[in-house]
Amino acid sequence: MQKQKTPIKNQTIESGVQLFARIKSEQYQALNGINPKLFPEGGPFGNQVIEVVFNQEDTDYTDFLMDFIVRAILPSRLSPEFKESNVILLQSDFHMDIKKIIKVIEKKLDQNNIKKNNRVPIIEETLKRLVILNCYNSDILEISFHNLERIINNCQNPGLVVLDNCLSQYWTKKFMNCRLSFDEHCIKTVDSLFEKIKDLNVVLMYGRTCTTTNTDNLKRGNQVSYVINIVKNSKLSYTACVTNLEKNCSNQVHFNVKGGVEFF
Amino acid sequence: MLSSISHKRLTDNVVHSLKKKKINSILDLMNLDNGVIERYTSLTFQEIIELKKDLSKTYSAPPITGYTCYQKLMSHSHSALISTGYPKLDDLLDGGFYTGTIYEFCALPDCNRLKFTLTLLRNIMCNNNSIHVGILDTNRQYSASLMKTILSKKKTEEECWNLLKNISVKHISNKYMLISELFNIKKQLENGELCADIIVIHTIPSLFLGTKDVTERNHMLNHLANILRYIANEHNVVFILTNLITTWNKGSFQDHQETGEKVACGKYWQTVPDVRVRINRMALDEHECILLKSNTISIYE
Repeated sequence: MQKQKTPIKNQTIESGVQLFARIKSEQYQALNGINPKLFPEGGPFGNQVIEVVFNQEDTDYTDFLMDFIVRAILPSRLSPEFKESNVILLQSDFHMDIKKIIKVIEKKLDQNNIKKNNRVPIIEETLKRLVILNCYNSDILEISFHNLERIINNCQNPGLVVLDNCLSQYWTKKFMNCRLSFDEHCIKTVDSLFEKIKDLNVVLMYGRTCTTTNTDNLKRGNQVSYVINIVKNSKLSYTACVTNLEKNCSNQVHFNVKGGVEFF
Repeated sequence: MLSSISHKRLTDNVVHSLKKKKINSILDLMNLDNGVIERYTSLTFQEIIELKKDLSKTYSAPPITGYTCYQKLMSHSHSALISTGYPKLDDLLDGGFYTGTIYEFCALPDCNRLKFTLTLLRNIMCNNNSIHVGILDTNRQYSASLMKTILSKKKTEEECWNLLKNISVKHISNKYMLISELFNIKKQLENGELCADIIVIHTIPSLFLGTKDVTERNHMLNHLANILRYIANEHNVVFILTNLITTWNKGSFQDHQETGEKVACGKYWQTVPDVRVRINRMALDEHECILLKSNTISIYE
């Protein structure tokens, strides 16, 4: 009888051969080194889950998420931090504006000294790597989770799946189940999303709004590898507190959003 | 809802068997284990896999690339940008109103929001006389004669009548009517029966302030946000909403001096509009606009 017991963070069982094949695959490494300041020990790697927590009242989370997305889709020939991967963006909050994404791309090209007349083909090529799913209600969002595998398999180099805000449809669900808490809804949504993509070796990043300043007591699923808590210091200055839940260590990175997201 | 129209495998018998087990929607079916569906219906395991694959493809959000999304935005008949007619407000909004965006103008009750909005509409329509405007008036303040008076300051009598023809007005008496009217607008836009470049919803809080149950209020606001985003994105419509700023006393019984201000409709609603502008009344016909929130305007400029 064959025994298969190699748990990966409590949710998957795979054989040694499967594990070896997974971590050696190109996709597993697709986003490795995307932002060494946030992930000083390398990564994120395929199948890891990143939770980005932000206070909805004073933080514009789109800048942070957009910077990450743009680094993932820009061509790798321009910088080692650009990953030339396909990104699947599940939009449920609709604050990730395409015009602003283009401005972030232009800013990155500026920083890499790409001349203005050479930019159009690069921008077009980059935007083609971003796949957007506009989910206008909770049913469409959940059915789209079921369709993700097909979409990811159709991409040439899938590396990242982003859900802009896992709590965007909370109140429609809460109306049907009055005992539903924010934490419970977040765990359910992320679980059902991760369930559909866990064999596909892509990084999952999701945003989570928080109404309190104390984020220590937030509950989350076992599959989460990193928690990035965005704290506003002043009008344009933020701190990202990154906690690696797998290695049980944390670091803080300051960044400002003046003239593009710039990490210190 | 689950019906035999959804897929050829969903015959009347299959749908009936599923409904008997309280599987009423496509999502219920998608979330159900294949083995359980096999037990409940006459479908084979392979047919169930094929059915689920087809349903997920048909009913999920269609994948579009960022490039297609940008091209779609740019292909809009009135371009992606509509000037407000006020150069300084255009500067504040990074050029004007972007199609597909939800704007909210909020002000204290002493500021005449209706007059401000109608004057804004006059300027937009005078700049481009092919712009079509829909007004959803929640407290029956809109009057055609007021609009005509505002228009007549810049246009001749005949031009005024022509511009008034481009404005459609619907009075809204409760939140359910608002949602249902927005669904009507969605349907009409899809059928080509309606042409609207800008939709104004005048005074959102008058429909929601009376609701004491926070869950019910936020549930309706969540629905409202979903339908607004659909119409704005899929039909490149600009939404202009007006909202109220409320004040309350922050101090204790001894200290009544400190007052706080917040935008009406609660914490959930604060995150919904893409751009929020505060209007301050400076003098009788003089207003100041302050940008409070923006997801579309570049922070780099």
